[in-house]
Amino acid sequence: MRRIYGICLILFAMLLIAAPSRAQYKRITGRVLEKQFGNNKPKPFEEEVRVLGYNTVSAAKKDKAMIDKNSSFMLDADAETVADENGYYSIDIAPTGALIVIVGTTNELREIKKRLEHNFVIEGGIALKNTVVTAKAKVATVDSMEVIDTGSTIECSSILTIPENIGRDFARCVFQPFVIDCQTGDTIEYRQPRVYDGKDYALTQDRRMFYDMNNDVLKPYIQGDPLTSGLLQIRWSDSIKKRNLKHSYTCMAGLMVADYNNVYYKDEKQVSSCLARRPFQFLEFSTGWFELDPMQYKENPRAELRDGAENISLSFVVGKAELDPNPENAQELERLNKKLQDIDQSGDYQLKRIALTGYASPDGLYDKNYKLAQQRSELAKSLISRNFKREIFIYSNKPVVVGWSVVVDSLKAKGMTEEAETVDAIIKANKIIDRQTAQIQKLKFYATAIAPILPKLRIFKCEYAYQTTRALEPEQILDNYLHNPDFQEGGKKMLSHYDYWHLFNMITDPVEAEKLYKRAFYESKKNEARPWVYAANKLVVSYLKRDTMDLEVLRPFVDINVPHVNVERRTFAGHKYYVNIDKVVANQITEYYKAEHNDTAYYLAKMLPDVEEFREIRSFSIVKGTMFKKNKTPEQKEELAKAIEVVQNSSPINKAVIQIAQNRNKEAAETVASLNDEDPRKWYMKAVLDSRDMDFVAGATDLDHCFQLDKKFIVIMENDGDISDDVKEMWQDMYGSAMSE
Amino acid sequence: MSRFKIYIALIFCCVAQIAGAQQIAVKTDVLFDGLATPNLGLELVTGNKTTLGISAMGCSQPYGKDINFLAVQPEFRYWFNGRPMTREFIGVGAILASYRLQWKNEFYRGFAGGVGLTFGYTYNISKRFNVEGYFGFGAVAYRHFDHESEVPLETYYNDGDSKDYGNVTGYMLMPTKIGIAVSYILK
Repeated sequence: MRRIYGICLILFAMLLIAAPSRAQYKRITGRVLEKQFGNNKPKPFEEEVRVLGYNTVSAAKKDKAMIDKNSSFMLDADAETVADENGYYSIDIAPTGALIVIVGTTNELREIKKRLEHNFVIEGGIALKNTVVTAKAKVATVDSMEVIDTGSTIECSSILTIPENIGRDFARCVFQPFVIDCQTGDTIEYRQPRVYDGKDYALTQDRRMFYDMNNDVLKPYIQGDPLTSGLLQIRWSDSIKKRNLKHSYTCMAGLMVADYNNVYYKDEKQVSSCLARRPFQFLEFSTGWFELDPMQYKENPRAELRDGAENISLSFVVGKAELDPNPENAQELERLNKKLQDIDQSGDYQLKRIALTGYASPDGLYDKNYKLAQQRSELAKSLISRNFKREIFIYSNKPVVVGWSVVVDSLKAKGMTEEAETVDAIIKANKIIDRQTAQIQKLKFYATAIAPILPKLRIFKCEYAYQTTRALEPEQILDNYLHNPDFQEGGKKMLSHYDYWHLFNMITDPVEAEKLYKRAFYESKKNEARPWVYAANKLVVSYLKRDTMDLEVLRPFVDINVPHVNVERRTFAGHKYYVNIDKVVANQITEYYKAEHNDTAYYLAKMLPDVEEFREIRSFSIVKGTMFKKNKTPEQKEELAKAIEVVQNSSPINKAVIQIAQNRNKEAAETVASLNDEDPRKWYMKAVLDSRDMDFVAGATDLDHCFQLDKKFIVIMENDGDISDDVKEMWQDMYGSAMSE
Repeated sequence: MSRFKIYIALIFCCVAQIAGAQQIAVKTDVLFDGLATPNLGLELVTGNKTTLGISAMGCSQPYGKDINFLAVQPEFRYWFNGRPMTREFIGVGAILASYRLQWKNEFYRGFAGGVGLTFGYTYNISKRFNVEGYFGFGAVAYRHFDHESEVPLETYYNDGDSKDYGNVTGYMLMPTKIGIAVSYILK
């Protein structure tokens, strides 16, 4: 008895545990009928009626969205049943959930809202079985479209079909493509239109009053194919230069057909998508650089002009241009002469010019003093020049009559403040110097305090300039550069190419070195007939090492009109120089390649010789520049084939990129399979191949694998035309919400 | 008759003066050419759908028949489809003719004038060559001498006045134009 009681207790307990999990479900019943036309009573459907039950309304709405998109194979209903032949159904589901009834192509969602009976009267969509529908398009259609983003250009092509009975013999069709920036929505430019004239239209256009066919702006675009009432296929392709390398671009085309009187057909079609294939987005190219041989560009020291100055005191007979015959004068002259001779005959220097300035004291009349100073200056000039065996340019500056304010300063320096103030007061009271002189000479202390100062004011200043060709040692150059403000940027003196050449070899800090290269290049650009190529190349190499660029630096050295490298030229004076130095061209190509200027990079690459040193940069430029170009010549095709070989062999990733770009899907699949599993690019490229195979689930899975490794590929996918919309949607459905968490 | 010729020449000159930048075509009706009735027409574009033309024809004893006549037909045409000298048109024209002919035993000599409506279609063979077919019908008034061949013409002069223009007047509804013409656009 006890045992039976225990068993009952256990069973009851189990029932209690189970009951709560079933208590939330209710049996929902109802009937599904088909709405009839007019006042006829609704009838049960002849087709199968599926009833799906969802415990939550949101889950039901999510599945309804999928059903509406015809993606019904991933529905996630909590319960499902099929109505009987009379339309009755019964389903157990949470009373706060929802039902979806599906009949043929029609479906309806209804929230349960705790009601236990739900009847449906649905206007069923009629599913036609084995029906062949033939329809003729009445509007133009775009039948195929291919868009490839090479980095710098968009290569697009499409086929636009204008159906029958739109064109006529006496009508004109204008096809006008225009480019839109996908990011901004702006119309960027209008491309070349195409015009198709009907036979009669072409014959009769210029029968119009005052009509001149030569003034028809569309005349250059009239195609050979006439417009007829039959089908017209416009095979369009274009290469659009991207204005902003980070943006994508689409092409729309306006289509207009007009007869003699009016436009009777107008349409606008998208002939190129925003979602372009980007075949080169994973192409690996290690941007190398090319240094010029320093010994080839070693500079010689140049002649440099330097300045010097000496002051000499000479005493003259009062009021005359004659030297006092005293030994001090002879000593002063000897001192100056020795200084100048030492410079001139040293061998390293050569005197170029000497300037003398005579100074007169302010006592006496101003005009007389001035003339006397001039005469004395000429005397000094003759005394100096007779010591030189060779002709040397000596000239006299205008003499200077020193003002009484200098005497005031001298008195103050001697401590004679009172006397200084007295003289200063006289200066301020009298503007004319002769009046000042007259009054100062009457002062009591003139003879004792002022007169002794005056002889010291009667001096000669000798300024000279001399040239040196003596080369500085590298250490001296470095010392000047680092410590002498005259040689620093903005200083009074400029460094020569010789100085820079040595500094380039001595400065090792990359930041400091780049500043130096920049300074050398821009100074030469500003001050010389031709900028210095060595400094320019050093600067660009420095930029490339930092993974940046400036296309303008090497531009003066590359003549795009000369299709060869190392071309010798001569200036008018006969000096030799080179344009298109091969390493300089190679560096410029690298910069253009990085800047996605593929056309220019390709054009320059053809200049370079096909040697080992330049093979890689040539090949990458050729592949990017011409792989998707239309109308290649046989030579270009051969050149491209060789370049592809080089690029493919440069790395496994590049091999896969090229194979995918060329639609060699089977080979690409093998190559991609061999790539490193930790590389997100492997999974991305696999997703591209899955997309081409229309294996959407595998594509979504591979995409998710890629995004798990690197989320930035999500943005890449969103703008990539190589991944189909179906794969993108599949990924979004399967993994999108988890990724956003 | 000579005054009549002068008038025709003047009309042609006026038409030639009007022609500027618009096209002008010369044409000949090959049916009448076949009937030994040489004819020549000029057509000038006057608008995007209109042209003005004038043609003259005449014959003298064609195929030995005693028929002499000279006619001039100015016409204004409207082209339906939007280009002149192309496809369907309708024209309003006049006819002025001077004739002298013998029909069975009757002599006729006089003038006729009328207006008519023409319908036609121009087929473009090339940029400059067209072929057009047309048919016109209208009302024509006439005044002529009508006498039997044995009776001298002077019998019918009133008061011996040689300037009398005829003893028969009337009008009739009749085709004013029929033909297949080839035209050449000069410029």
